[in-house]
Amino acid sequence: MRIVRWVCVVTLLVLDAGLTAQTATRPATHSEALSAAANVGETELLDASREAGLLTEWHLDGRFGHGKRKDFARRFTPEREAMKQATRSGPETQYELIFPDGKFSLPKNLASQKGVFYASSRTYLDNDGDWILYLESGGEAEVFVDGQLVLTRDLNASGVLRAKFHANSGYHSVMVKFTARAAPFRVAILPPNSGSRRKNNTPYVQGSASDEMLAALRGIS
Amino acid sequence: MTRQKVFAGFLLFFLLPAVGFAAQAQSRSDKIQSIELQYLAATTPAQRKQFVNELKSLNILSEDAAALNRAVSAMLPAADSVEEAEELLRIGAANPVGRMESASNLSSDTDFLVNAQRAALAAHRAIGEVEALADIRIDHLRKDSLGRDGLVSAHVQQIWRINSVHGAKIFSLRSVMYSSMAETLYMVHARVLKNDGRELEAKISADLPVLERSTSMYFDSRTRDLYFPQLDPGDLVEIEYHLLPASDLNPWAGYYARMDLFRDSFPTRLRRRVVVAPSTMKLFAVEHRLRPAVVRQRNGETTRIWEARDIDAQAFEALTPGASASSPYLHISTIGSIEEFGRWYSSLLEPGLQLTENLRAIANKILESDLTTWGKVQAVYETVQRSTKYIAFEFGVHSYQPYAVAKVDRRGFGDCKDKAAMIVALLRAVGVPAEFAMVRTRSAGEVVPEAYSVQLFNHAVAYVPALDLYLDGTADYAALGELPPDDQGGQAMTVDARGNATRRTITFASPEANRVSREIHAHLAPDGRVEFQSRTKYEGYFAAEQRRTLESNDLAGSYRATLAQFYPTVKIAHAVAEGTARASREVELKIDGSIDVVHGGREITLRSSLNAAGLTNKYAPERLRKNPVLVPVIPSEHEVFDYDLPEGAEVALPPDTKLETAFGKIEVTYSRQASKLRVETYRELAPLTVAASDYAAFRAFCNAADKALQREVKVVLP
Repeated sequence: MRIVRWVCVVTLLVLDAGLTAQTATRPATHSEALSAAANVGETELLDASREAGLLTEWHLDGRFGHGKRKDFARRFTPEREAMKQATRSGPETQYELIFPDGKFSLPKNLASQKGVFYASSRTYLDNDGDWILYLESGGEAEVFVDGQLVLTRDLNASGVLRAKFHANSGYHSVMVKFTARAAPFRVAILPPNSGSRRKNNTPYVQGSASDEMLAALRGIS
Repeated sequence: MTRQKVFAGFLLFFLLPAVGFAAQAQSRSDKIQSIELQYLAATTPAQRKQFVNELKSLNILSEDAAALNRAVSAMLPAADSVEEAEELLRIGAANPVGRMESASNLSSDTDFLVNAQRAALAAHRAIGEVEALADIRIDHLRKDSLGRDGLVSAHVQQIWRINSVHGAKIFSLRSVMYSSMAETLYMVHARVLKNDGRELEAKISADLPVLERSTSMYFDSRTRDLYFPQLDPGDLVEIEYHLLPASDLNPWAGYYARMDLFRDSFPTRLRRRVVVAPSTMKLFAVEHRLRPAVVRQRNGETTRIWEARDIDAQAFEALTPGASASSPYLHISTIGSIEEFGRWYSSLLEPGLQLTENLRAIANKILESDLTTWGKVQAVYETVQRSTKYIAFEFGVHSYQPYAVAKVDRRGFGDCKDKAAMIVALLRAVGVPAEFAMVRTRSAGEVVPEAYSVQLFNHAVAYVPALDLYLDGTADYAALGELPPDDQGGQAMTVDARGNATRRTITFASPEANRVSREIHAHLAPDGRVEFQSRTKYEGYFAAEQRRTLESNDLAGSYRATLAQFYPTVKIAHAVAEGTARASREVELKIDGSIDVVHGGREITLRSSLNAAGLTNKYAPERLRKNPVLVPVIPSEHEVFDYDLPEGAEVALPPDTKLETAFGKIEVTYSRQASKLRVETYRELAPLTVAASDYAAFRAFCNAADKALQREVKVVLP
């Protein structure tokens, strides 16, 4: 299972080498994403991205600072708050920006602005243990998981960066601190090992009539 | 004469092309059938690939869809590789049967369907962002072409009202799923009824096959996406479709069963289920928290109607058990007793248990080894684990019936029931009576014991009565007795070699058998440096998880990461894992290293536990809860930290904690004797299903446990 997920994310991250050269696109709102989905099969893309471990739903804060280089070293409110809480984002947080391909882009009106931005997301990790965080970006960025700095990308870095972190199962907040130059970017979280060949025995997140219908179509597997 | 010639000329002019087209269609249909037969007779992967390619390259027209679907349905279960199956699923999905104009004898069912506008008028007060005004399904059962019961045609009508802008956003896309080998989907309506009287048709996607590459699961199901543009509050969305049998034969040979849950993610005004069947057909219904059916008899047919009104929405919360645990449901089956169920399933299972020469040779080898019963079971279990990869081809009846053991052996892959069947066949061949066990895992939610159908089960394992032992063939790294967490507590139905079925509950492993024990001996130097030796033992299924992790993971790095959460300066000097062979009952990790715990000053803090479990975050993150919490099986955890303190060190010992409730047990004790400091912790969480009414108490337990385990010991160095 995990081999395929890993291959998926590497394919999505590595094959798109021209990512950082692309013009930033306006993020889709939830309804726009759904509308687009019906036309070009982006629901499938959204599922594929999530399946590949890419984070697709984000909340944006910013910009902060005065557009100076040293601004990036400062800790602005979202970062201070995240470090203080060092817990997982609450369900009340709204992740209003949806990127079906997992590629976070700044809105056009912000894409050329100087300063520091924070993009926050939330993920559910289904196992205790080590996880690998992947970041593909073209600029200066830092990634925090539950308020802890996990990965730093400086201006000279290239390629997809990865960092291992340890986490327990449950909800976790992920926050990217970045400059406009670092967007678009993609963040994925995947387990490091890939030996699982058995079916996923994770408890259902939710049981409903449609789940039972799905279960009936799935059979004993 | 001339007039006759002219007439004949007209006839030729108009009829010949039609005859020609019909002949071409017939020839394509023959070609499809010929490819199917050649594929089924092929003996090499190259030949099969060639026939799949031939099928793909045919110019398929809509009138060929039925023939193509029949061919694909016959070929899919015979596929020997994922690539073949995927290609066939794609070919089938690209050419679905189901144009309305080709459907005939569709029932109108006017007695049971509702008028959307009238339903909206009757529902004065809006409830929720979106509400289902009606959700109706009518199953017409009849005999198949061989005179067997249970051939089903379904008619579905669903009407929703959009009550808010957000509701419009979340509802704009719906999917209809169907089983392509058993059903043909005919859409009657997929439309939006606007407030101003306009009707907007949905945009309908091409059919897509359902496959989950990430879990190696492949299904004959397909989805058709319906996109409703320009939805606004007040709009009604109506879907109506028929699911007709794809063939005149009931693949289940007289069997029919359905499980319908009566609660969904939207509040529902009316859910109606109707079954129309010949009066001679026996049907057994289990109405769980539902009113009994209204029954009518007319013209040799019996109509049963179940209804529920004003049903709450199912709240979306993590760790919720399957809805059958908390929702009303209807289960209908042609089978009404456990004896009948056992006989019937045995008739599906037993013919496929014949061993191949290869498997017979394996069985003989095990027999020659003169092993105990336990040894034989272990040998069989490991053989199947090693020789059979997990790939699930859930095609047609094989969603519930294992493929023949010979086929699984040849393919080298199978799903849970294929592996379970192979284990059962091999065990019987080595003289160990074994039963095939269908399992409804704990997370699927309980059902009452009076219901009999395969649809209730989502997993399969083998059962050895002599040892009261379950063997899950999909748990690749598990040794005997190490059962995956979700199997534990599951409802099982075992079927023995004579077709006797027995209902069983899989017991939970005891906290002693499912344990992580950690002993750390640490020497604290006056300069604040800690040298430690850590020994961690895993028993039960969590030993299997370690075997899997250790196969591909960097042990030292992983352990460093665990400790670095609390002690960022940790360095690992030596790391080794023992007992990773399955024969070993426990896996032990031995790790030595050092930590520089002083960051300026003389005061250092030591963790009471390395278990950063955060029970609250994991199992009780919400303040309030509507659904029960399915607490998963986690290992009990025992930690002992022995510190040698430098002479003159001062220690402020926190208070001990002893907490024992129905939810679990937490013990944290601190003791100091001269230069020895001992911190001992124990954590045990009961794998309960915590009712929503008990959630506050459960959350309080998790909070108290977290607080106790996260407490720190302050040491002031001399």
